[in-house]
Amino acid sequence: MIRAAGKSMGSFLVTLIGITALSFALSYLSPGDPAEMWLTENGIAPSEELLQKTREQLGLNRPIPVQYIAWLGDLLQGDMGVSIKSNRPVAQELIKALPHTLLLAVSSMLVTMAVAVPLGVACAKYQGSWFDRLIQLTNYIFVSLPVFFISLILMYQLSYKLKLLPVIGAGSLKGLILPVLALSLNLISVYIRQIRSVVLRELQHDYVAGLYARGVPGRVVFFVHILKNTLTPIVTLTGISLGVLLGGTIIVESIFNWPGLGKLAVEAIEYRDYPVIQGYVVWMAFIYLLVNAIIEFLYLLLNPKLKRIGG
Amino acid sequence: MKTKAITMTLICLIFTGLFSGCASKSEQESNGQQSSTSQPVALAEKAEEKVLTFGSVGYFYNEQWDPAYGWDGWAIGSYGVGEGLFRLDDAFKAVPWLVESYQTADNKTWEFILRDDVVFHNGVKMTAEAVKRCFERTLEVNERAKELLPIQGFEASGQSLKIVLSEAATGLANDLTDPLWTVYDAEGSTDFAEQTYYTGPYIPNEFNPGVELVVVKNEHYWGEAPKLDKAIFKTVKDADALTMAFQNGEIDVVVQVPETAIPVIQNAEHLKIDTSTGMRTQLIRFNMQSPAVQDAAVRKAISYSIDRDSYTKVISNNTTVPSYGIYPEAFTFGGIKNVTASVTAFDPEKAKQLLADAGFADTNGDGILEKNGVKLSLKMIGISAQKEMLELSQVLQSQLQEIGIDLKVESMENISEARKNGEFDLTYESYVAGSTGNPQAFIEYMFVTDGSNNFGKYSNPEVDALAASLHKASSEEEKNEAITGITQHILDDAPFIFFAHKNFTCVYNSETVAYFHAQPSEFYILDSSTEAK
Repeated sequence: MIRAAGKSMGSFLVTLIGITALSFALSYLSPGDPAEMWLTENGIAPSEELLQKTREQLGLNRPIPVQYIAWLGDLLQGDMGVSIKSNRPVAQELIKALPHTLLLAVSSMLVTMAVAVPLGVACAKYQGSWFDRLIQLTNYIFVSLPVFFISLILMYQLSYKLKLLPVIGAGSLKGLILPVLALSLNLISVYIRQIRSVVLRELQHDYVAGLYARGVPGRVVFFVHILKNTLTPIVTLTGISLGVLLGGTIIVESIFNWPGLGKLAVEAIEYRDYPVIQGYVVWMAFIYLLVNAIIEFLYLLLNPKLKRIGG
Repeated sequence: MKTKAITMTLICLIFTGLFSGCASKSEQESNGQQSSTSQPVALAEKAEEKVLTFGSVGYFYNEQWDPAYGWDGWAIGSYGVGEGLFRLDDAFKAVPWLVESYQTADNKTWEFILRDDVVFHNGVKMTAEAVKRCFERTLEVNERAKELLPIQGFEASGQSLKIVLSEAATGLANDLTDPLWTVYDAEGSTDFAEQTYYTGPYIPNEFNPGVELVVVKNEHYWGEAPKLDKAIFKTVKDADALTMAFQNGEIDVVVQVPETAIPVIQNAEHLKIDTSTGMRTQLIRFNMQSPAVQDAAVRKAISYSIDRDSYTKVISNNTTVPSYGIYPEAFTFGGIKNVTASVTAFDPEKAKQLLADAGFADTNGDGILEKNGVKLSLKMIGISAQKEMLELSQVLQSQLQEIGIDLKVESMENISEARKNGEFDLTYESYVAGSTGNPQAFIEYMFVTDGSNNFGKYSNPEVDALAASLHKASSEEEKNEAITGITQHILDDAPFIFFAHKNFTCVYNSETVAYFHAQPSEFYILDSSTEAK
């Protein structure tokens, strides 16, 4: 157990160093000078002399590897630096945005699961029926529509035409409905297709025929045996989606003015706010590794055979 | 078969129920809340409390409440929270605000007698000593403050404040309207970012940077009593969402309507437009070191080929006014009234003639002019986020094609690197030519040989001399004369084409807003006069 934890921690550190180094390099390769932006934002005409002074002040005059190592050292001591744009600690900025993203991500995931699992299973069970075809058609529509378009259509219909929901609802529960719907409609379509195909594949296995042959009632075969075996791919899919959602959904957060991590990241990129960009990358890395660890744990729970194989 | 049909029907019913349940739940939630809680509360609030909601894509940008931090003072002043010693009127004239009277003998030592009835939001009286400490702190915190005013020192006694400058400044009153000189209690706070005490008709209340902020009425305001109990300022980055929120009645006032939203938003019911021409100008900058645009005839030919009227009406949806000078008409030194301008209308024929006279000819019949074997082919850069730039560049491409100039356009996220490195023949940009009505700083960084924003490397010793004389001007007339002189040189040399002035355009809902007017300076959005129905 300790060895496994140590191994996970080791791979976490290697991954963290890899992605943060990559994002550090990419940030610096992109055009735009943060020192110049800082000066302009502070209302100072950026003369060469001032730019040099500002670069020194922001630590941008050192070679990129030195800057990266210094940043990594601070990070290991729990210091993520200070945002160039807001002059507040990066950790504080991330912590402020996090609850909004968590709320949006978890709500969207719950709605997705609540709708997609029963519909996906029903589509598989009644494969080829009008119901299945209707759901498939709806799926195609929502999978092919970009999220920003779904968002604007929802906003137009539900807010502007029907006056049911506010366009700008950041912070209120009522304001959560539109962004959750915008995110979920796309996810639901993806999930229904996946669940349907997994259940259909499962139905073709010999053990299903065997169960029926032994006289096991259809309901038991379906809900106890088949559904249990489809959980593993569903868990994998959920993990990936949750990782994406927890990184902040840039488009939806921007359109609905949702003050989450996605919006924070976009603004940081626009402003070349390197400390915030790096903080965001660390968060993303952490989330993906955490979600992966949870998925692996759930695999073991769902399929104890894996544990034995793993030794 | 029968069981299957029943099960299918049941599943359908369950999901229909689930969806309609969701719909009715959310409907209940929204309708219910609207009819039983939020709507009556909102209505009651509207009946008892006067509240207006302002929405903007990017005007409410302050990250904190310290007016000395960056440009935050500009936003803070626009919420009716902060005030300065002077305030600009619609004609960019500085009107005494927190001062009762002022005098100067030599434009170097200025004495201001401050109002005696002004208190900060924390109840502390505004004295000359308090203003002195406030300005001293601003000078210490903000680098721009030192650049803006050559302040040598202050003297404070009772309500009398003396500002001593190291060089004469005839327009000090105008300079002091820059919201950087917002008056606040420099001794009232320990953390100015979190809490600062001002003198304005509204007091900061809730604050979520980049999302929403709320200000409430200052019951002890020294001036005309504020007419709103509360004002909410919402930042909506997406222009379509902002438009829908206005149409939906969630936003009462849209501050600076995005150009793309104009065609849609002008169809909204109960809409009123408030627009005035400010100091923001749309311009084309030439790289004076690029061989392709060395010849003034080429630069002027391009100026003749810009259809300013069409740009205003079609591309900018009437959010700009055409310009042939540098500054808006309303200024003494504005427009082309006191100068001799060669370009005064869209005239492609004149452009062709100019180029022909300068020795350009299409010798190989490919439609592009040449001189000394070099094709007249130019590269223009601009910021991709400026949609009107893309539209203008397309129109300009075809107009220039007609007169034999090949124009290549590169739009980029950020032009600062390319601009700094001189990787352009011309650029499309937007600048504020002196927000306080005084273009002196603009002249210095744009037109003077080593100006920090003189990216086209324009140099004219006479312009440099006139710009230097602005520091020594002993009267406004003398100063205006120098500014007009500089304008004449710029129009003659054509290192820039200032083809349009941007209007500050706001829209409001006439059903909820009784009175609203934003001044062209963009400094004041909410003040005591703003009224809700």
